[in-house]
Formats: sequence, structure tokens, C-alpha cells
Amino acid sequence: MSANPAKPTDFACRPFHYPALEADGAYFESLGESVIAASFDENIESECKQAANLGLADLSPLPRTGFKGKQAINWLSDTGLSIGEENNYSWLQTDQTLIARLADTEALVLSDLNARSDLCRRLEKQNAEQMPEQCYHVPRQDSSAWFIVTGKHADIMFAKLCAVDMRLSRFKSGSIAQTSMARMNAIAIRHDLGEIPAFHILFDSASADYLWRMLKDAMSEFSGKPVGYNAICHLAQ
Amino acid sequence: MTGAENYRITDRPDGQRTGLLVDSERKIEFHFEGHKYQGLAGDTIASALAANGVWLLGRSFKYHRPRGVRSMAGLEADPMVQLEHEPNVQADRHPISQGLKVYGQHYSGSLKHDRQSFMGLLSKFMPVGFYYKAFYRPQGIWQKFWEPIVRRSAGLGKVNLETPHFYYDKKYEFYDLVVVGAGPAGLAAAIQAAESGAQVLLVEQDVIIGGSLNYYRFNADNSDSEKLRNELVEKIEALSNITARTSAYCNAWFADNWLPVIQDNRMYKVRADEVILATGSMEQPAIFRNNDLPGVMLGSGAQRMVNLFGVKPGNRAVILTANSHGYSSAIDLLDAGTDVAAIVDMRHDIPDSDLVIAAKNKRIRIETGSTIQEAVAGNRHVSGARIAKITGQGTCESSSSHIDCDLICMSTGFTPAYQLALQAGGKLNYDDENAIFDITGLPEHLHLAGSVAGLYDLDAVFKSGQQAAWRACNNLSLQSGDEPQLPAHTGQQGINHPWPIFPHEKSKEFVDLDEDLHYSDIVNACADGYAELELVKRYSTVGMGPSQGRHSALATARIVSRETNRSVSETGVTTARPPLAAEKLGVLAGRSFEPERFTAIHHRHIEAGATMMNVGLWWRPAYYGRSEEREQCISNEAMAIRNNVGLIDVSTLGKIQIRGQDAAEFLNRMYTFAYLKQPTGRARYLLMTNDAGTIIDDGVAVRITDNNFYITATTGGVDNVYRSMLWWNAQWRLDVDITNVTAAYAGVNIAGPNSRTVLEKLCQDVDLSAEAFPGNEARIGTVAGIPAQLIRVAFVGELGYEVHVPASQGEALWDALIEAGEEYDIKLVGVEAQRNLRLEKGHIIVGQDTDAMTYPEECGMGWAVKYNKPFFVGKRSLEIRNKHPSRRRLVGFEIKDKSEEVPQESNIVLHGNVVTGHVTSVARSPTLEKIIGMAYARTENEPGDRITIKLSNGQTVNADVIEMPFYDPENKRQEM
Amino acid sequence: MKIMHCPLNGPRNISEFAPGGEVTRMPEPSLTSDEAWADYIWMHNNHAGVVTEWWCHVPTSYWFIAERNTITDEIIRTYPASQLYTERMNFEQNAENK
Repeated sequence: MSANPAKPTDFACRPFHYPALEADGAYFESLGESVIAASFDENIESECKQAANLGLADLSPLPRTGFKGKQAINWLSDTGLSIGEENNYSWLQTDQTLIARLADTEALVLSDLNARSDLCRRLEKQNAEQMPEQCYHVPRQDSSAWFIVTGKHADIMFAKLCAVDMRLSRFKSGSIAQTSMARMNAIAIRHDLGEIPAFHILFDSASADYLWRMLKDAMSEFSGKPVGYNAICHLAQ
Repeated sequence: MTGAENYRITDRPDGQRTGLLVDSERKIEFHFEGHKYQGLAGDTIASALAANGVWLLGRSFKYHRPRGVRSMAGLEADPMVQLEHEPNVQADRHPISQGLKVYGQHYSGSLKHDRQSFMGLLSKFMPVGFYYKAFYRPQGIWQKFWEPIVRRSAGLGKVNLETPHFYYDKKYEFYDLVVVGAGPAGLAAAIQAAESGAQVLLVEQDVIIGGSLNYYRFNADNSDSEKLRNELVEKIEALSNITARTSAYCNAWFADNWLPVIQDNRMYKVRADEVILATGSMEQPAIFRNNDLPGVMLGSGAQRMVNLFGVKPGNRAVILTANSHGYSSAIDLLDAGTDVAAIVDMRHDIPDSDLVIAAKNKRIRIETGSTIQEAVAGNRHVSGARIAKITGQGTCESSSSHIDCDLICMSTGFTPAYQLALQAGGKLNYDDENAIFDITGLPEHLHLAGSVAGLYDLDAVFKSGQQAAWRACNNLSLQSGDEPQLPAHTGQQGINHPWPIFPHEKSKEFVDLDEDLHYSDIVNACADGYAELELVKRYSTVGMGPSQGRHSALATARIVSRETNRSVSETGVTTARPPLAAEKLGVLAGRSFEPERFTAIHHRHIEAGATMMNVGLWWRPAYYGRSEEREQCISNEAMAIRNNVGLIDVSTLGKIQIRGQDAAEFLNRMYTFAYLKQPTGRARYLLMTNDAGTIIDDGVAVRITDNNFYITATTGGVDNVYRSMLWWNAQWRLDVDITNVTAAYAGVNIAGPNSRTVLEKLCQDVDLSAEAFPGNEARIGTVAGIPAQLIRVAFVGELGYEVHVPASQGEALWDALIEAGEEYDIKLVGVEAQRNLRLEKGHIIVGQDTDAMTYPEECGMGWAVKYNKPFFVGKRSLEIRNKHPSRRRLVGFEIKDKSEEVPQESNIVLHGNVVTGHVTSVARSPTLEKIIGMAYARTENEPGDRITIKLSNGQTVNADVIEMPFYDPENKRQEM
Repeated sequence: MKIMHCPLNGPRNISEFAPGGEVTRMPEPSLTSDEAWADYIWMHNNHAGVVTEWWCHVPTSYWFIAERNTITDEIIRTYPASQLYTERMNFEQNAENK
């Protein structure tokens, strides 16, 4: 994670809704081959406090990938990853990558929040070279945008957008809900940042701007705000 | 009667509270009908006006009769008033606030002096259903004369079109148990369930919990119910697993206990494992002449007025009763300082109870076996009651005695608040012995408690709440102790009089006050032949007003049953449907979630001044310019591609990846063309029919490897195509993977004679020469350093390349292409120009040039159908359809005369007087300098024939059928 | 709002699902008369009682099968399509026989 300020247009790879992020006052930093909205507030302490209350961050520039097919789960397990039997559940790997089992025939791989692991890239390379039967790559990096909603009001906020019971007492960390949010399809994965409740949201990248607006609108009742990647990394330690 | 007289109770003999809801220390000023009044914090509009002696709140719907409050519970239309930003506000529910401006509704001139009050005199000419028999002769009289009059006088309040859009939203919630109604039964139920460990939502319409415990005197000294009330409220507040939501109403019951609970501007969508309806009962009015006058109230309404708001409902009362409730209100009225001139008890023998004894001890005059025959009208208010002895069902002696009064209270019976229970499938039965409705047949996980379950004795009500909660908790596997049992005495016996209905020769005995229907209207509806209750309702409009039958269903059922010789059970009530009470459209809309999809290049279009258009959820640039310049922009953009080079954002195109051993076999089955032998690196047309043979989508398939196809579908059709593919393969079980990658890739079409030149500047790893990369082929490489799939497609009929890149790099690709194209004066081209360019090539757009019947042979696509394949979706149907060929065919046409008006899509094609088809696409072609289009015409129409098109303005224009493509028929340009 | 139990996602509001019609067996096209084929395409049973139907969970595009009583609107059970469709379906090359 670099500390250099960056402009999205200096890179070929840009966050899906970067003009909206700019309008909200985002300060970008380079990350891998792209940029990420690193902060919205000069003071990282207050941004972390905001995130602990209710925060929304764009993680789309972070690596992610997916595999589907009858042999996809087996193939991933054979590479040494730990994936359980239950659908709609997720497992944290030793390098802090999160594997989400969406169905018997599909898994989603989310990079560790610090983007240190190159697992996603390695898996894609391996899959392209080996071409295993019935195990197909899904271009999650571009098909799906990735937001994270954090804080003690997150579950109540989701109740304004989503008909699945996401209350912290009912929707345990690790659980996945594939459902409709603000009338669009989305995958919600709860994975807390230490003590702080957190939900990863994966959804159609073409609607990044729309869902960002809907989440901000629902959050305003609880004084929720956008927060930067830096605060998320801070809380993930 | 009106004016500054103060009806506020200042003190009571027993030192009890004077108005549970109002704060006598906080005065509030508001306006009604332009006059200033003062009320107290906690007053509703109606109670504050009543305190000031203002009883006239509205004018009735048909006859414009003066009306006031009756239930003080927001159940009827008469007390509806107009606020600045809201019509039809219930004055007996809406609180006053400082400076609030309130007006009456539905009058001409003023509420007091309504110029339309003469309508009552015309009632003889407005029998039930009169509007079905009048207003339409002579012919034309409706539109010219009556309709404007009826429109002006219809409706109640007025909508203010300047009203700002307030913030409405919705929230999902989950509870173990929802209790609807926080009266004694509801409170008992909620407490019992919460103490057993359930998460409970308690929903209450009023501003406080307590229900009848707040305003009804259960026994003479009233101490018991007040103590009980305080105990229960304290317990509710102490239990953290009860959420008590006041000023909230449960507006419907939907499947599996899904409840809309509306509070202010928010709708809670509540899923409850168990539901207890403790909704209570509605006291019913008695029916006698002029029972609609201001000052004629329900006994419970008077008690609400006194006990909740500390207001005297009048100075001198006559109480009509058939149960102990009349005696209860008598004692409350005396305490409030109202003189009770008489209790008129319809019963001959009155059972003693502590309330009756107390009334006798206060020396109130009691008339037995009698009824009120007529309320006497004074100055827009009741001024007296005529009492007579009852002689039979609905009949009384003609000689009557007069009693002066300014208040009549009615307590002759109840109907359970059955609406939610019936929405859930419950059935209403009529107990003939007790003359009261009861409810049976509820689904599992739904329970009744309290008076809605037919219990009126307080102890029975309380126990029924506990019992219902015990049963609900049992279902939840939460339990404590034995099931509570009901006491023997339910209080139901004798609470309802079977026939408090006394028709009068001078009429105006109202059955439905919202709709101004009196007794003979119901009788005449039956006489007109509408014996079935649902027809009586629709013919007479009984129960169709804002009160939705709350105060008329029982009487109507009784009257109709007698007129049609059936039991009341057989007659029943009309179907109860959601919503229970009026709900604002804003509440239903909530935040109005309307998903949108932007391509990666979206903001570049906005910056370039594009006029955007919606295609499904996507936004696309229609053309680059303002709407005034529309034609010119489209023409320039199209010409740029014909003569030079242009860029089109085609990111919205559907894209699906088909991979696996059976990839080609799968395409062979899903589409009409042949794919098994398609060479890698080639692009081939895809045509999809449904199993009836109708065209539903098209696209292009690029074979990347033997077992890997990258296919496109239409922007609007891809979601259905994808879902349909999954459905078919769930049955075929081929070894194929189907992945929707539409949003993963941005796509740009760079087209025009200079497109290769521009692209070559950015693409070094693919040989773009015509020999190395001919038309209808695809290559993988990099453009401006971005990994790309390049496909040569012929859609717009020029040399061109579709460049597909990962969506996150789509904008960078666009920027690079514009920069590289600058020296060639590259133009941005929108969807409208693209559509005209493809029209010039005679390329169909599925859904525009095809309709719900079009099959391939009808629109010249027979070449794309391979009948020698073993199977494809639609094959068998097409074989049949080709045996009975269609009589129409899609043809190209031109109109050479430039002065002619351009037809529009859907304009009809005529052969003589016979409609033979319609125009599907049409445009003025700048390239060809004429009007061209496609239309369905007769199959016999050959190039050279004339067809007639009827324009939207009714005129006809002649067009000539010609061969397609219109432009570059030998397809030389796209093969460059 | 009815609750439907998705075999993959568990109990959900029925608004998350799209109905897909009755489960029917496609007759062998080449052995079916025109009339019988038209019947298969256009005529639906509209049975009053327990029907077996296709349903799709829209957010995941997951197709499955439900047994539902059309009179009581009770959803009796739901299960993966693979329980009903167990083998690859082949179409023989017999177009010449038409």
C-alpha cells in the first residue's frame, strides 16, 4: 500500500464509480495497477471511529477472482485452500484471503485486505495453464464491484435495503446471503474486522454508482459515511 | 352551540384526570376555516374544536348535510379535514400544532353556509343507483353537461400540487410475535409472551397503549381498570423484549404473517412467526331518522372525548342503549358536567349490574323498551330526541315524546374488527342468539384475543390475551406453565341488540354516512334485483367510502338478510381486502429504488454533452447534443462512420461465456444456426427462437477454442437468454458452463473507412490487415496496453472492430482511442445513429423488427436455420409453421420524395382497406438521401411493388418495396 | 408475502423468485404429430391440486423444482433439478426420417 496521492485517470484500471468517489471527497492512493479511495477524512483516527460506528468503503481495486463448475471446489481444495462443505459460508485462509462458497459449483476468492497475498493472480495463472476439466474462471475482478460496510449500525442499516435477516445476532460472521439489495442482486458476506461488524458486498459492477448512493442514503439516518481503505486496513489489524 | 363556549372539563368530582392525553399547561393556537382557536398539547383537531364548541367538521358526500364526530377514533369520513399539504386528514386523530391551518372539505362557499346543502332536498330524485339510470340521455349529455358537474363535486379533499416530496422509507423487521392492538387483551398477550422469552412487537394505532382501559369505565368506581392499566403499562415498559410502537397501524395481513406496519412516513415490513390480533371491536351506530346530525355520537366516542381529551361532548344528553355501555357513558358524562336527560334502554328487562345501579342511584330517568325514533335538528346540530315505545322488529309507536338535548349517545352493539382476520382467510359467522359476528377458520400461527374473539368481560378479555400468547409461545417452543383458561362469563350475551334499525316515513335514517345511504336505499337495491351482498355493495356503494363498512356492514347484513329471506350468516359481509386504512402513495414508494447501470464510459458521454436514453436499466448516449439539434447530430454522427471514423460505446451488449466439452453442442441446441464446425477465431451469427419458433434474440458467437465460445446477446435480452440457457441445461445436463459476463467487459465499436488506421496506432500485437484479419473473425491482443478481444462485425456496414476489454479499463480504452483518432477527426456516435446505419444495411433488431409472432422465414432469416440438426429449440414448431406460412413478410421500402413526412414505427401498412402489416423501422437516410424503412407487408409484395402506409396523422403515403441492403448491397465496405 | 424455501439459499421471500411453469416431459419431436406437438407447446394443465413446477432464485439464477398445492397455495417441498433430471439428454440424428 503506497502513500503516494494518485489520480484515477493516470491509470488504465480505474475504480468503477471513481467520479462519485471524487465528488464525495475521496483522496486516492495507488494500489497495484490501480488506485483506491484511501481516505475521505484527513484524520485517520476519526475515520476509524466513523467506520466503527457506520462506514462504507470501496474495495473494488483489490484483487478477487472466482471459479465455477463441478470440479471447481475440488480444484481449489487441491491447491491447498481450506473450503468447508456448507454452501453460503466463507473461510479465512492462512494468508487472510477469504474464500466464499456460493454453491456446490462456485466459489469466490477475495484478497486479504492488505493486498499482500498474490493468491488470486496465482490461481488464475494456474487455471489458465492447467485448464482443469469442469473448473472455469469467473472474471469477478470486473464483473463485480466490492464494497465493505462496517460498524455497529451496519445490520440495522441493511434492514432498510434488504429483506434477509442480517441482524448481528442472527447472521453470524462467515455467513453469506445471496439476495436482493435495493432491488438489485447482491452477495453479502459477513466477516468482522476484529470486534467491529463488517459486511462485504459483491454486486454488478455497472451499478456501483447506484448502490453507493443507496447505501449512503440508508446510512444517513445513523450518521453513516464513506470511509477510506486506509481506515479499513487499520481496523483489520 | 358554536362560538367561544368552553367545553373543556376543568375539574371532576372524584379528582380524576381530566383528559389522559392533554396537557392543560401547554396551550396551542391553530386555525379552522380561517378562525383562530386555542387547544391543548395532546388535543386532536376534533377535540380542540369540540372544546371550543365547534361541532361542524364536514359536509356529507351526496346531500351536503352538516356532519361532525361520531367515534372519535378515526373510523369515518365525516370528520375529514383539509390541511395545506394533505387532504382527507382525520380530525379525530390528527394532533393540533402551533399555527396549524385546517379547513373543512367538500363545500361551496363555507362549511357553515354550504351552497350545496340544498342537495338534500333533491334526495327523492337520487334513489340508489340513480346515476346508472340518468345522465346519459339524450346522447352526448354526459360529456357536455353532467360530467364537468360531477367531477367538480366528486371527491372530498383537494390535492396541493405544490406539496414537497417528503422523505418516506421502509424497513424490514423480524419478530417471534406481533400483537396488533394494545388494549387489555393485547397488553396481556404481549406481557405473557415476553415473559416466556419471545421477541414481541406491539402495534397500536393510538398515541398511547391501553386501548379501552384509557377511556372506558368498566365498573362504577373505575378504580380497577385504572390500576390494571397502570400495572400493564409499567410491565410493558420494563420488558426489554417488547417493542411498543404507537401511532402505528398494521395495514394488512399477507401470506406467512407478512405485515405492513405504518408509522409516520415509514412502512415496516414485518415478518412474524406468530401473530395475535387483539384489534378490538367497533361500536355500531343505531339507525333512526337524522342519526347523522352533529351531536349524535357513539357512546365510546363520547367517552373518548371526556376521558382522553377532557372535553364535554355536550350540555344535555340522551343515551340510547341496549347493554351496560350506555350506563357507563352516562356516569362519565355526569362526572364531566353534562346533564343526562334520559337513558333510553331498548330492553324491557334490564339486568342489574353495578353500572345500572349507579345510574339509578344518580336518579337518571330511564325509559325501558323504547328507542329514539328521530333526532331533532336544530341549527346544524341535534336539538332533541323523539322517544317511542318499541312494538316489533324495527317498529315503534307513532306517538312519541320529545326530550331536549344537544347530545345523543348510542350504545346498541358491536362488530369485531374482523378485517385482518378475514384477509388471512378467516370466515365471519353470525351468531343468531347473540346477534353478533364471530370469526373462525384462521390459519396456523394467527390467533385472536379480546373482543375481536367475542369476549367483552374484562377478566375474559385479559385471560384470552394470555391464552393466545401461551399458544403462540407453544408454537415457538417457548413455554411457561399451563395454558391459561377462559372464565365462563364472556360478556358476549346481551351486548348486541339484534335490530336497532327504525325506518321512518320521512327517511334520512342513515345506514352508511360516508355514502349518504339511508334505509330505503338498501331495501331498494334488493328490490332492484341486487340480492347478492357483493352486488348490493357495488350497486348502492354501501361500504365503499373511507369507513369501508366499519359502521355499516352489520346493519347492511341484517337488512339485506331480511329483504332476501336469508340468515345473516348466509348474507355475510363483503370481502375484506388490503389496505385496512388509507395509505399514502409516498409510503408505498419508499425510497423508490430504481437500479441503474452505467457503462465504464458513462461519464465521458455526459462530458461530451450526450443526450442519454434508457435501455432497460442501462443509460446509453442517444446522440451527442441537445434535443433541439437531434436530427442534425444523428445525421452527422452517421455520416462520420460512413465517411471517416467513429466510436460507439457498445458495452451494454450482453456477453456470455460458454465453455466445456459440450460447448458447441449446447449452442447448436440453443440457436438455429450450426456451430459444431465453426472454426476457432471465427465469428458466426446467432439466432435464437423459443420453443414455439418465435425469434427472441440474436447475437454473435466467437469461437476462441474448441471448447470456449464468447457469445453476445441483445442488451435487453441477455438476462432472459442467460436464465433460459440455465433452465434448458438443467434438463439436458450437458457438460457445459454458462457464465454471464456482460458487466465484466466494456465494448467499443470503432467503425468507418479510417477505423483500421486509428486502431493500428494502438494495437501492435495483432495484424489488422484485411488479409490477416478478414471480416467475421476475432483476435486476441492488446489495445493501448489493455488486454482485448477484437471482433470484426458488420452491423453498421462499414469496416469496423468491436474491441472488448475488462470493464475497469473501458474508460482508459475510450480515452486512448479518442486521442489516437484526433488527427482523423474521430467522432463520438450514439445509439440513434447506429440504428440508422444498421437500417441502411437491412439488419433487423429483435423486438423492433420482430414481434411476438415473427419466425425466421418471415423476416428473411431462413438462411440462419439449419433443419438438418437433430434438435434445436423451436425446430419442431418451425417445421409446423412452415407448413402454414405467414401471410406477411418483412420487406425494405423507400420513399424518394424528400418532402414527404417520415412515417413512424408502428404505422400501418395497407393494401386497399386491408391492414397487411406495419412499419418496424424507418429513418431519413443522409447517405442515401431518401426515406428508408422496414415493414411487414404481404408475402406477395416484391421489390418494385407499391405499398401504402398510413401516417400517424391519418394521411397515407406511398412507398416502394426495394431490395435490402439499401446501402452497399454487395457488402464491400465492411469487408475492406 | 409467501416464504419459499430455496434448496440453495434457504427460506426467502417469494419476491426473490421467478416462476418457470409446470415441469413437463418434452415428447420426442420426430415421433409426435403436429397436433400433439402444438398441444405440448400451447396447452397447460392448470391443475387444481399439487403441481410440480420450475422456480428460479433470481439473485443466483438458480433453477429448482417445487411441489405446490394450487388450491391451498401451500408449498409442499422444494428440491434441486438434478433429483428429477439425472442423465444427459441426447437427441438422435434422425432428421432424415421426417
